[in-house]
Amino acid sequence: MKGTYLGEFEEIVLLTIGVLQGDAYGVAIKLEIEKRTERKPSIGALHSALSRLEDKGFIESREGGATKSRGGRRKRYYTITAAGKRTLVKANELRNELFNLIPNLSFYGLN
Amino acid sequence: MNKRPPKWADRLLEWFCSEEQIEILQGDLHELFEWRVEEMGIWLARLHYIKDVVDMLRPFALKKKRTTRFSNRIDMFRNNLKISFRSLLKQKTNSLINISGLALGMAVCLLISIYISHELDHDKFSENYDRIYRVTSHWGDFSPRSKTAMPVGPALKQDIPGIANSVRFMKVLTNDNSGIPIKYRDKKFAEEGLVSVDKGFLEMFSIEVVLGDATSALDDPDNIMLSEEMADKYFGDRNPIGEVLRVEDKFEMKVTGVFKSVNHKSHLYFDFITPITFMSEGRWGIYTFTQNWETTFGWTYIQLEELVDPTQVEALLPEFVANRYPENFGEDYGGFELFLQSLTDIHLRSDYTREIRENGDIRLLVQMAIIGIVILLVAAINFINLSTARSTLRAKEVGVRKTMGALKGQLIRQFMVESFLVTFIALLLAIGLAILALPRFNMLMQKEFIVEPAFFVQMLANGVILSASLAILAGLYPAFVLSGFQPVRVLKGGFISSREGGLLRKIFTTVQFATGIVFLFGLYVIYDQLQFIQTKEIGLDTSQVLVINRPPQSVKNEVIVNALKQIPVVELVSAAAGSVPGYDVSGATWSYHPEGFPRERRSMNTMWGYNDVVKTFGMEMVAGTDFSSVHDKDSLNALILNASAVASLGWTSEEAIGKSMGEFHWRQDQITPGRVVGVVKDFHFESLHEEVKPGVLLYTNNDFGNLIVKLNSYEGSEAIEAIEKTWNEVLPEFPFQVTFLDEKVAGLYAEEERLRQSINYFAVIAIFTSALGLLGLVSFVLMQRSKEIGIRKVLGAKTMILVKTLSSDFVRLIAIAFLISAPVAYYLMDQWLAGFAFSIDIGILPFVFALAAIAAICALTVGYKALKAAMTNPVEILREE
Repeated sequence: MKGTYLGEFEEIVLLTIGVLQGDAYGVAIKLEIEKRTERKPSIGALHSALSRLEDKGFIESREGGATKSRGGRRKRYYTITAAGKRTLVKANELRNELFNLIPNLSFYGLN
Repeated sequence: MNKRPPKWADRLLEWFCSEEQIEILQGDLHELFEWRVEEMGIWLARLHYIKDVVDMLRPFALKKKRTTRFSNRIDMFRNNLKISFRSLLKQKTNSLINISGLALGMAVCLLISIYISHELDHDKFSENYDRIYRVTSHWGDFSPRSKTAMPVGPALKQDIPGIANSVRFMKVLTNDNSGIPIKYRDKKFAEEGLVSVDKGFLEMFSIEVVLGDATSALDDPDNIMLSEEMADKYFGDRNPIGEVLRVEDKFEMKVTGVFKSVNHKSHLYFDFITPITFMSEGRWGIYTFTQNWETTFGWTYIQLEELVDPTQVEALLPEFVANRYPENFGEDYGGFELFLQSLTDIHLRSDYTREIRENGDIRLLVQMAIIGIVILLVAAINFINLSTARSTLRAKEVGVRKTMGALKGQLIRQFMVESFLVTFIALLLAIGLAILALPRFNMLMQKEFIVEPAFFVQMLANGVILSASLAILAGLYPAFVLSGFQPVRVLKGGFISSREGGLLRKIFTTVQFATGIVFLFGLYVIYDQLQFIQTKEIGLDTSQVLVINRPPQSVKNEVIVNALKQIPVVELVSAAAGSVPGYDVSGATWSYHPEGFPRERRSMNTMWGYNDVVKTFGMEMVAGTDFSSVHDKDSLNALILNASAVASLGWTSEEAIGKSMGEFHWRQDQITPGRVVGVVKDFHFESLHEEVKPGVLLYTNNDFGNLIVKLNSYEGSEAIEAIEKTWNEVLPEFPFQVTFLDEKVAGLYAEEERLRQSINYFAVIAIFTSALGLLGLVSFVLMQRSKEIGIRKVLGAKTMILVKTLSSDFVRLIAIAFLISAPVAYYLMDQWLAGFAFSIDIGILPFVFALAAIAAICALTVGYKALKAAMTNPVEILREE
């Protein structure tokens, strides 16, 4: 199994999958990310990240029914696994922890 | 309207995308497309679609099939490699012979390839080397001269468009071409690398300046730049910039720069650079060359503008000569022309007179290449021979593999891997060998290759190409032979004759023998000729004669001569300049008006000599007397002719005495008078490559090129010490440089001596390799015939008769090889000897020598093996049946 390191873009994808709650498939995730962040990931980059996340065991997928709009092709829906959730929580905690460690002073300094 | 994504993009996606992924990915792409059609219209949507498809070219989406195929190949390769190692180890002697033979051949080839590429790269360090040309002077049918008159360069730049720059290059030497004394504090040396150049020189040739300012370093006539080596020699660790060198004991020159020497990679040769003004502004007194169109004082280089066709510039040169040169210039010599010579042609393809130094020779390169190829061929033949001979042992393996379903291609691959393995192991060995042999190689080729990273990389690159092509060339044939076996035949346990492919093997072996014979033959002839040269009477007694370089100024001539005469070991002292034996005489041919030939001009080798010159050189007088002060005021015009000169004028020796003979001058009233006082037997001014030409000894008491000292004892080193002491007392400001005359004369044949040594090495390598191959081959043949030998022995054959039967095959091969190679060898050596005016006759001995040596080597290898086979107890061999 590959390393369980979570990349920045991967984290966003993972979070978005969580946000979409069972309705997360390729195009939906892409549009959601576009809506909530500044960036416009290409569908190729997105699928690449999805395949990495699946390899790492953070998400799992199932194939849904065919829809007309896709020329009768099926969608693949993604959901977060328990491991994925743990990693997300851990990443969030780490971030908060580090954030809280920054003294106010340095914020003044930044302004 | 058809609102669908471009079909070809879809097809592209289907082509590269893996099957598990295609439905989902294509679905997403189509959905996005439809969404985009709404948002931004069909065209942009299509564009985005194409972009997305291309963007999908990511590892996760690609078809996986290819990688699985690849990994199988790696496994097969690993297996091939393992089998190869095993089969190498299984036959250790065979592998050893094969690899060491190849390594030896490759080492030779590597060194030669490095040498050749170094020679071909000469002068290419200059950034604009393909735009630099040398201007050369051509008089009628005379061989072209590399030098030009000094006003030519600047005038060319003025007159002819397309010339970006012109640079003059002059050597600063004494009158008799020896070094200029340069002094710094207590350090003084005679330097031959002092040159004067135009300011653009550094830039034109991209000379790297490591210290000092390149743009202003040659501004002042008193400036001098020197190479790193010279900076080290004169100043050691001190910073040379601003220090003062005393040149010619006259000029105080300020060091303004240090440059990286290019002597090892250029036809140019210089250690010290001075500005051209150093020579031109009257300092040198005698040379008022800047306006002299008649004499060729130096070399002229021009750099063309980019994209200028040199032939167009050359086409303008006749007009230039007509405009600029004096009227009717060179008419006496059949016309005069200027030509351009490309910079890259100079080193290898130019043998003009008065080159800056001796150039390389493209013919030598070709010879070296041929020798390298021949030696490699010998090694490759070993490889092929041994591999095919080995086939009998591998036959069963091939049979089993084929039965198990191996394809011919797979077997070929297996054998090719073995071939590559062997050549690459050999390559590693060869690189090691080449590095070990490098010092010797440098000595032979007079080069200075050192093992540095760049050298190593080049060797590795050459080596990899070499070994790869060798592996393919030499491996292909055995691979096809071995993989072609019929499984049924080999597995039945039937007798596989080694005679399959036997003819080819015989041809190969014959070629090897033939090569060996040619080398041995050449070796004998070269050795013989050198022996002949060294023992030939040259009309001089060169033993115990010292030659001491004299400074160009004629100060204290009598003083030093008289002082030297006081030393007990010194027998005679004289002086000589010009065509002194052992020196370059190409410049010392002068013209004369002999008595009775009023309108004729005779050109003769000319040597200036002082009192006792004939006696000191050990020449033999035929008539008249040696130079001596006895002649008094007449002596200044005294001259001595050699026998050839006398004969060419139709005189007898006695008639010649007292005849007048003036030095040629184009103005009748300026002819220097001369009177013949003696005639000497012919002696060799030059090497034995040349006939003895008519020659003249002119009396001089001021222009001493060299002091000639004859010693009366054999205590050479003590005598030299005593002489140096005297020298330093009389002429403390000049460097003391001394050589023995016999060494100097032997130096004329340095090239032949080097050739002898290299042929020596090559012959040993070629023969050693052939012998190795032969050894391997014989062992296989005998192994094949071991049963035959056993049966013969049981039936009562005597050991010696067996040996004879077994070796008869090889005797026949030697005979054929000799018949083929003897005429070739004879022709080659005859050509070589034609380069000497005095040479040996080839005769029968070299043939006998070559044949006997080859036969002896074969007898040793074959005989030893055959004897061993014949002496084996037949029970050992036959009990298996």
